[in-house]
Amino acid sequence: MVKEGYSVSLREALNPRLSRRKFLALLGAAGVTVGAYEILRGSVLKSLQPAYEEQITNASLTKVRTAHVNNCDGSCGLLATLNGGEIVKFSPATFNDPDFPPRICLRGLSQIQYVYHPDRLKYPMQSVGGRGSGQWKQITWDEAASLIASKFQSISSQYGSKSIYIAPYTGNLSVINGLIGVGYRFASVIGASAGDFEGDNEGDSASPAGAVEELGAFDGHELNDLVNSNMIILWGNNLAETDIPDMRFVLDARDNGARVVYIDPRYTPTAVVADQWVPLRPGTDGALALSMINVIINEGLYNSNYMLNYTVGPFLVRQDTMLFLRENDLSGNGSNNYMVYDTVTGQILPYNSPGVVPALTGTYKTANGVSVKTSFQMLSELVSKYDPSTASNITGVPAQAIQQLAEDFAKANPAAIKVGFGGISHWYYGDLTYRALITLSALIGYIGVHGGGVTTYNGALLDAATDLTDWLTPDGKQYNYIPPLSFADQVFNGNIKAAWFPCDNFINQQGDTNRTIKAIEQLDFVVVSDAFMTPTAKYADIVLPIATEYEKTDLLLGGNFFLQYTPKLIEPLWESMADLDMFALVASKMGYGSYFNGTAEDYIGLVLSGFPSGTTLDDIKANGNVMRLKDEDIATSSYQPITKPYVPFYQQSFPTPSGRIEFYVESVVPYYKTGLPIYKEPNEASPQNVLYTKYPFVMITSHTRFRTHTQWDNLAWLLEINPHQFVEINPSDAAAKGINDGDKVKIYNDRGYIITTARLTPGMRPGVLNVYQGHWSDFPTGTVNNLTNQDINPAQSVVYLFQSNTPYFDVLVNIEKVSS
Amino acid sequence: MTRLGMVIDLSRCVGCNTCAVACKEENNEPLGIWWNRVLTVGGGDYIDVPEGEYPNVDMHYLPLACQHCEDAPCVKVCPVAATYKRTEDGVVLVDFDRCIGCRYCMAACPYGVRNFNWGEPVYSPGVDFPVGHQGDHYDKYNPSRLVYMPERPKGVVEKCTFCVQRIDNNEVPFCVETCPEGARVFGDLENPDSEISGIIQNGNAQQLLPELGTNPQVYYVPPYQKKGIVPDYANQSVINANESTIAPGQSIIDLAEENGYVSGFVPPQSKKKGGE
Ligand code: SF4
Ligand code: SF4
Repeated sequence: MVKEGYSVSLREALNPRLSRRKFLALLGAAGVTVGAYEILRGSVLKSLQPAYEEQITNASLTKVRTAHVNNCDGSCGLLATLNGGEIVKFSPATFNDPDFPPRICLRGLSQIQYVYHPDRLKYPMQSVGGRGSGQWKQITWDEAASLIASKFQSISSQYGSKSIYIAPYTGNLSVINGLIGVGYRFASVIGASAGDFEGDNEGDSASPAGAVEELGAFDGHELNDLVNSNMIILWGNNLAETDIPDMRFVLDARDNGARVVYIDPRYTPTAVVADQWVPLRPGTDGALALSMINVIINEGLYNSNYMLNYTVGPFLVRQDTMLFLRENDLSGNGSNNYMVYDTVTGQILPYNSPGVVPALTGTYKTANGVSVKTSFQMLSELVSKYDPSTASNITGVPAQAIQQLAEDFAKANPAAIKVGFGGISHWYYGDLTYRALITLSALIGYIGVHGGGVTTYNGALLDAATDLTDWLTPDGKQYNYIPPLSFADQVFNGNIKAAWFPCDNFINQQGDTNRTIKAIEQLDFVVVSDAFMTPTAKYADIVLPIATEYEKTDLLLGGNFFLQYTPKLIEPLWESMADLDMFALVASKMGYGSYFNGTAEDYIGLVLSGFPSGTTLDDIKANGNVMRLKDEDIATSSYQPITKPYVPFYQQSFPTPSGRIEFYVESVVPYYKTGLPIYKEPNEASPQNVLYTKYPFVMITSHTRFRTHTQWDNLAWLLEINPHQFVEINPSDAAAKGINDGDKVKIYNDRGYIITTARLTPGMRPGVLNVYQGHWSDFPTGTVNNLTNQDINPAQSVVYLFQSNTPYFDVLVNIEKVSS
Repeated sequence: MTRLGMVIDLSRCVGCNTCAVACKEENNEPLGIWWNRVLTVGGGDYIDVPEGEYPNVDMHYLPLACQHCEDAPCVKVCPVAATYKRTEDGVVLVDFDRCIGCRYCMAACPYGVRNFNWGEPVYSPGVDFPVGHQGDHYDKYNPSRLVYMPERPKGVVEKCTFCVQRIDNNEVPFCVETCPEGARVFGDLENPDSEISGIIQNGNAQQLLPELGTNPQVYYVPPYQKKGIVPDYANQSVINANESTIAPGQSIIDLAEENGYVSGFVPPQSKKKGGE
């Protein structure tokens, strides 16, 4: 970055080989105006200014509001300071909302190092030595676009256009150049396949499945609703390290008297500031929740009125088919009505019959001899197997502590459960665990009330209210949906022949890296567009340099309840290009240019036109590049009117088949043989697994504050604080293995291995290892996903467009010291 | 008179290092130089490692920068009056035009917060312009004193100035603006009605190493004391955390005793402090 004026000359002047006083003299003598700055110093200043004034007129400093659009979901507003053509500072920016303070974290503050990083991809390149060889040839954008277009066209004509797969973005949550953006439009227009809308290419979460099954929608409380809670359970959610600014709301509630409970096998920064840390065996959260339900039912602490009227509690379930008993089952009249046992008449009647007073509990027989139970009866029977002492044996939490926790929760009125996208969601049976938590919350009537609920995502559920059809699927052209977690399978069975990974470090982050690489090696053609030569980019045939979020115009509408306009601050560096322009270039070579004629602002306008409120980009700009969503944009009409802070299901209506909270879910019966949120031992990471003798450590891969997934892994300031990659191991385990602090260790299982450094910490549970996920695959040896698996839980895929998660934590390994 | 001070509420501090990075950005600190660091008071050589035996473990964080002492040892030893205490508000500053790099101040500082530019400053790769505050800044009250310059040359000592270039323009220090947990409050210690005075009085705030008589203008609210019924793993039972025997603030005094349980990334020249 060589530029005129100030920086270069001042830098030279400040070179210690030139004395500083000499520099002053130079300035004074020549009266130099240095670049954009008028530097009035020393004696010059004194003669000009009788009193103090800022001695530097920062005439060329401008401040522009933008946002941090990475996949942390914090979506903090950033105020960028520009000095001429350079971004010289990021600070927290206002949201123009007294209830939502400015926010930032160390990652947002380090963004300058990202923009100007010397390792950024600078021009398009073509692989010349074969995939992964590291040998590249510089080509022009025009050559690159022509190559991609002709390759896509020949693959289309040979295998069909659906064999081209456009992976979803994960590193950018914006609506034009990112997650909900131009990649889908491109895929739709050329008739290709694309991943899911969730933006979790790697299937990062099971909670959407559980939420949609039980509540009908994946929706959460607005963050500042936490101050209305009397108790907050951070369940497997290391909020103070991952969504650092979100933790402020928990601390505000705590200092206001709320009790903060943190459930996690590891001792973390969140445990430091919580009232209670509840360590448990990894993957047994469901058993803990069921045991709490057991206590609450046994002690009569549940809200029977709520269970009767807002959940499927009184609905009868056939014990032969395990499906709800329907009116049609008895009368053959074709009615799908749910049935209840009427305590007035002693008959089984449709739930909505006039005057019916349904029983919440009980086992009955229908006229035709079918045994039926109320859902609540079945729940009670299920949880009776998880009394606190039994659950204590499963989870490792003292029985008395479970009892106390359940009582505290039931009496808090209200209590909130806050879950992360990682944590309980990174298990094969994460959907069941999440449903157990919703059931626990519903049992007291905490759903849909201020200060209650079970929340994973604090942002607005935009796809419920906004219509993105014209942007993503123009003229009715619709991409073919492929769950990204099935990527390798789809390659192996010939359905995918070419792939494009835009801002997506897929190889690094997908479970079972070696399997993923095998799949990628089989592809005819791979394109990666990114800012860096990521481990994924190394496997591309064509690599395209992408402009950073600060070099392109966009709109961010995720992570919170604000629309944030993120204008281009500086021109794209080197030959990097905005995603929109890149896809437009390739599309035009393929004859689809007319779909990409607009500017980013045009398309933001198109996206906004799908908002019921009619908010325009000019409105957002006029409000300082940020605007809280209008009520009518936040959720569908069935949610209206909404309350502030936003609380989902505030109207106590649920978009489930029954319109109620379905803690009994029919659609999963084929998979689980019951619709209840049962507890199942971890699929892989259980002592009951035969592999356990060979691989006796559970390995979890949590998130570090020094990265957002794989992003920011190469920023100098963060590396200074956190220079080492390591595995956390309890000192007793380390001693048994002859491992000392700082030793080189190998962690391995049948899928692969990594080499890393041991960090001994008593904060780590014995029998469990933690390796922070997201480090690039030169670890020194291997990404941690060499060890994880791609086991897909089909029960989660009953939910449309939310694929099953990758069970990142459901992993068994062994560890050994590497003799130097 | 005004005495500017800062209170850091350790009961809200989660060790995120945002304040350290904010300081690094605002003050264009070269690689290897950290005016503001976040230490772990725990049980290991690294950050985030608690003391104790699982699950009975404990730790907290201790952000550490210049304490802006009332009776500052560094000021007394500076042979050229480069380091000085501003009489108007008590902020301790270094005049970069005067500093001769003798490092007496570093030896005198009991908190190990001063950094020395041993070599040519090196910055983040690719960022070949100063970040953060742009341009030099002269002391508002003593306009001949150069108290901020974006690139301090080899051979000078540098440290936290309470962001003098900001406070002289009625802005709070950048770490205070950026702390995501709202754990930092800045204000006038002399004004009994200021927010900071209220917190110091009600929050049992303490100074570091009070026995040295340095009388810092930086205060700490003690780490969070858990409340209510918590699990007792040793006895597979529960205990009342309110009856915990840990004295409030005890851990802060642990630091004073340099018990070796303080870990963090410590600039090489200050290694004599802490447990690294
Ligand atoms: S990484 Fe997340 S929390 Fe940090 S500044 Fe960016 S959006 Fe905010
Ligand atoms: S920014 Fe705030 S919470 Fe984070 S380490 Fe600093 S003082 Fe603690």
